[in-house]
Order: sequence, then structure tokens, then C-alpha cells
Amino acid sequence: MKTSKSRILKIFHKEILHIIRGRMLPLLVVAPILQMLVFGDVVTTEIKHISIMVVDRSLSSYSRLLISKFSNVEYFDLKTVSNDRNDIQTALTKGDVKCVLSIPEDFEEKIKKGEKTSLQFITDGSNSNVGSAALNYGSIIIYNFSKEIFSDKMRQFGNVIGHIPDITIEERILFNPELKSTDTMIPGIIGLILIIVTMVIASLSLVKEKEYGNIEQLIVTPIKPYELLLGKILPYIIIGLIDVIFITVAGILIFKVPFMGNILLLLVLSLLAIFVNLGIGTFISTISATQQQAMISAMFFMLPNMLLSGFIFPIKNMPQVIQYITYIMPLRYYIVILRGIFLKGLTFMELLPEVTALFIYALVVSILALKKFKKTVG
Amino acid sequence: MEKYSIEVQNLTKKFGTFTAVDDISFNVKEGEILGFLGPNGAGKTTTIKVLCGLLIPTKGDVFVENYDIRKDVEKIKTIIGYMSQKFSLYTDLTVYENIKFYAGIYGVDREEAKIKEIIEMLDIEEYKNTITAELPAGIRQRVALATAFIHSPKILFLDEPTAGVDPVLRRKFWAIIKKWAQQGTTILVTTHYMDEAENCNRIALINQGKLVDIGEIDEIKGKFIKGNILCVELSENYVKEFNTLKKIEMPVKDISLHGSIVHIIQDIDIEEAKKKIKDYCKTKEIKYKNIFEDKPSLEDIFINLIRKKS
Repeated sequence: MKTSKSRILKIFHKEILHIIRGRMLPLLVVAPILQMLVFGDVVTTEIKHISIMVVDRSLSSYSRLLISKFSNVEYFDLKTVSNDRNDIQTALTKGDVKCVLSIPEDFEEKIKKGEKTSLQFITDGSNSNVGSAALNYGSIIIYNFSKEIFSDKMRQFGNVIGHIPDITIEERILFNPELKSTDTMIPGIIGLILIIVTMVIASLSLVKEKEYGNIEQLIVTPIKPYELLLGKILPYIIIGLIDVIFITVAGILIFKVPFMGNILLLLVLSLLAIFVNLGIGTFISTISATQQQAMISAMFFMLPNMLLSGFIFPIKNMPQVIQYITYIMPLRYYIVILRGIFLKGLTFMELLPEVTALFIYALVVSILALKKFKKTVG
Repeated sequence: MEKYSIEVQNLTKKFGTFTAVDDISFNVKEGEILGFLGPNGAGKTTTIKVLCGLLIPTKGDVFVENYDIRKDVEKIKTIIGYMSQKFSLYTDLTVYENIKFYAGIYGVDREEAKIKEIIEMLDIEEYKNTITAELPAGIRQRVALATAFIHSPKILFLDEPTAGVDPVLRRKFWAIIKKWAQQGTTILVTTHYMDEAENCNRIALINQGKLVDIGEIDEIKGKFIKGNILCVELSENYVKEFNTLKKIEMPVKDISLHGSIVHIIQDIDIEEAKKKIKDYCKTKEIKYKNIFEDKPSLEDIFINLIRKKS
């Protein structure tokens, strides 16, 4: 047993040397930072600062009041105010603005007379998300504006009715009150980074032994397959855990992501995810002869995991068939665990279904990988 | 009874329908250097891989130091060293790190002393801290040898150890191998450099997966080539002159061209044959530098062997 432990340590030490000599260490640490910046801050699923043009042909105090409502919110960026209807087409076609609010000539006149008047709101539907968001925000602003005018009128007429009935919705969003996308992105990035560091890099490192013929030299030594495998993957388990801590701390400090749960639980369950990834990585290495093949196989696995795990797109919005497929994506369970611990402070028992799924996954792929690895090495 | 390091009985190794090694039997004595000779694809490497435990035999028995390769392969692994054709070293590690790694894997006692000793023995001290990728083939070969011998194995398997190494370094390499054999290490080496085979105690000729013959070099030479060899050193137009020389009217058993020298194997009296060739050259205006008698080389045997097969 003592020699076995020492052999594992020798392999471990050699792997660390490979990582250092291959200048992999900066990559394994810098990559997480870059990804965090890209996904956490740049890719935002909230829609803000929609560029808008207003065509004001009324040129009245009411129209100016309405325009100020649009320019005062962060959802819209008022680009230009024009009084020519012909500008609408060009501005939208050129893509200068995403929507246009058109105020008719008789806007103020009709309001003063107490008649019905309508505004035109034109949106660019080529990006449907932005288009519908603009329409939503715009409707709310106009509705509020209209209500204001109504109350003013009532007051002018001496408020014969008394109180004006009004029903409002008091919004309260739990767990991520500001609906900030960084809050859901940062925990997800941990899952993605772990796939890269543990699954992709580890499988490449294993295939490298094969590609350069070193594995033959190892097979003729008294080393056992599990000793070789353990020694090879141990560094990546450690680096994976360091990355988890790293992104968690950076997420809290830089992106102000709330952390409601238990860090120890996060690490233990991350270890489970690491085992799943390493199992798959090992399996990939046994079916690949070159690093190139391993890379492509890893990508083949990584992409659907990214897209079908709920990391970027909500699973509930997917077609039913695709939703079933998401169940075989290990990242799906890990993402729920990550977000649960980060944003809701969930406990082990509350995460039991996901933990169980991940545990079974880890067990199955580990056994499969070790068997396959023994076959190619033994 | 003599002690055998390796005993191979009716070994067959098939890959699917292809038979790489076909019913081979031989023994290797302790401290002996056995050379495996044969053209590419003859089954030399496959045989070595079976003996090392890298491949499982399809049929037959293999015993290494009395351990059965099928049952005790783990025990065998501790007492053998293997150096593959590719000199499989970790090219991103230094020479020292490579040797130290294998010392650790084998659990070598007094590790540092042993590493120092082998580095000195193989004369690679100045490269100790060089990254292996930067070394020339000759040095890499010696580093690979160091990693294969760090645990002082009883048997050393060398698969084409001198491929791509220059002649001076090859001679140095063989000096070390011979020294180790004298100290009791059994060595099994494959090569297709015929001149190298002269360093072996015995050679095994392998062709198309079959063991053609095994024995001492002189013994094999006598068996395969009956008669004497006359060498005609040509001065120009080697191929053209060789083709003319082929048409000589005398009982020639075999005639082949080796660079500028034509080897003629024949039965009749040497002096008489010499005269005949000289006369023939004069009438056909073949220019030659010298005609002399030579002992058959392994190369002659080899060519003879392959011709017989085809």
C-alpha cells in the first residue's frame, strides 16, 4: 500500500511538472477570470438602454412631458427627436434606433377637449426579444402617463367622485430581487469552468501519454491502472476546487453576487461534479488516439451541456422533447445546485434530488471509465 | 541444467486474421545477448511486446525468470526493463526528471545514488538539466536506456534501440550493453542493422512471423551460405557493370550488389574463380579496383534468406 501511494504521488508530481512546463497554470487560472468577465458582465439577458426616436408633431407641453418620461428611465435611450414622419423608416432601416414613438399633431388639443387620442409605437421586430421588451416598457410608461392626466382632470373638476379606485401590482421577486442576470450567470460559470478544467484538460493530458507512446513505457512498469489514473487526475481535482473558490470569491466581491448558502456544501457537491467530469474525460481519452480527437469529442459533449443545462436558456422555454434531453446533461443538476446554494441558500436535503442524480451519474461514469481505462492500459 | 531467463514455447500472436508471430519457440540464457533479426514487419516487435506483457499471447507459453506471463505478469514487470523504438520519454521534462520519475515508479532504493550512478555510466551528466525535447537522438537514446535500466532489471528488452543514431554513438551504446550482459543482465534486442548483430552472442532470424533459425552467428553463416564469397570492388557505373557481371559463365550460387562491391557466392576453387572473373572483366571491359575473398556477412545471409522466401 505504501508503494502504491508513492507511485500515485510520483505520477501526481510529474503531472504538476507537465502543467507548469506546458504553461497551463496561467490558462487554468486566467481562463476562469476571462469567462467570468464575458458571461457575468458582457452577456446580459436583461434588456436595457433601448435606443428610441420620438417624432413629435404636436410640439406641445403634453408631448414634451411624455418625452421626458421616456428619457428619464434607464430602459430607453432617447436618440433623436424629430418632427418629420419620413425619418421613421430611415432610422429603423439603418438600425439607428430599435423603436419609434410617434406623437400626432392634435395630441394636446384632443387631451384638452377630453377626446380619445392615440400614439403610434413602432418597434424593430428583427430582434424579437428587444422588440417585445420595448413594447412592454413603452406601454407601461404611456399607461402611467395617461393615468396621471386622468387624475389631473379629475382634480380640475373638483373630484366629484372622491377617491379614484386604482389597482396596482406590488412586485416582489424573491432570491434575485433585481433580476440581475449576473447573479444567475456567475454560479453557472463555475459549472462551465469545471467542465473545461477537469473534463477537457484532463482528457487531453491522458491522451497525450498515449499519443507520444509513454503509456507503453508505463505499462511495462509495476504501476497499476488505478494508480496511474488517480495520479493523473488528482491535480485537476485540486485545480477545479481552487477555481470554484476563486470564482465564488470574485463573484461576491466584484459582481456583488449574493452567497446565501454553505461554502462547504458547495465544495463537497462540486467535488461530485468534478468526478462526473473526470469520468467522462477519462472515457473520452480511452476512445481517442490523439489530442485532436479528444478535443473534438470533448466539444461534442460540452456544447449541448452549455446550451441544454439551463445555463443560458431556461429549460422551461424549450420544446418538450428537448426538455427530456436536458435530463441527461450532468451540468443541468449542478447548475441547480450552484444557483440554489448561491441565491437561495438551499441545504443538502433541499437539493437531494439533484445530488442523487449527480451521484448516480458520477458512480456510473467512474465505473465505466475505470473499466475502459483498465482495458486500454492493462 | 542450464538456467534460462526466457523460455518461449510455441508462441503465436494473431491480430484478427493476421498472424504476426507464428509458432515461435526459443530460450534465452542468463547474461546472454540475443539479437532478433528480420525485415520490417517480420514480427520482432510483436514478440518483444508479448514478452514484456504489453500483448497477450494468442497461443503458446512464455516464461520470464520462471514466471508465467499469463499468471504472474505483475511480478515479471518488476524485473524487466523495456526500451521501445520511440524512446518514449517525457519531452517536456528534463533528463534528470525523466530518470527520477521512473526510479520512483519502480521504487528504487537509494534513489539519488542510483540516478547519479546511471547518469555517470551513460555519460549524460552535461545534459542532466536539459529539457529532453532539445536533445539529439543519440543522447535521447541513452536517456531512454537510463530510464529502462534504473531499477537494474534482470532482463532488458531493446526494440530497435539504435534507429536514427549515428555510428559513433551506436558503438558507445553497444559497449554499455555488453558490459551489462557481462554483469549478468539478459538482453534481447531487435535490430535491422546487420553489423550490429555481430555484437550478439546468438541471433534469431525472423521472417514473416516465423523463426527461421537461431544460433551463433558463425554457425548460422555456415548453414545458410555454403561455398565462398568473392568480392569485386567496382570503380564506376556500379549498377550497369553489376548487370553485365551477372551474365558471367560460371556456377554462381548468388550474386548481389552492396554499394560498389559485388558479392559472388560460388563453389569452385577460389584462385580458379578469381581468374575466371578477371578474364571476364577484361573481355567485357568492366573496370574494377580489387577482387578479394571475404567471409559471408549477415547481410549476405539476410538477402539470401529473403530471396529464398520469395
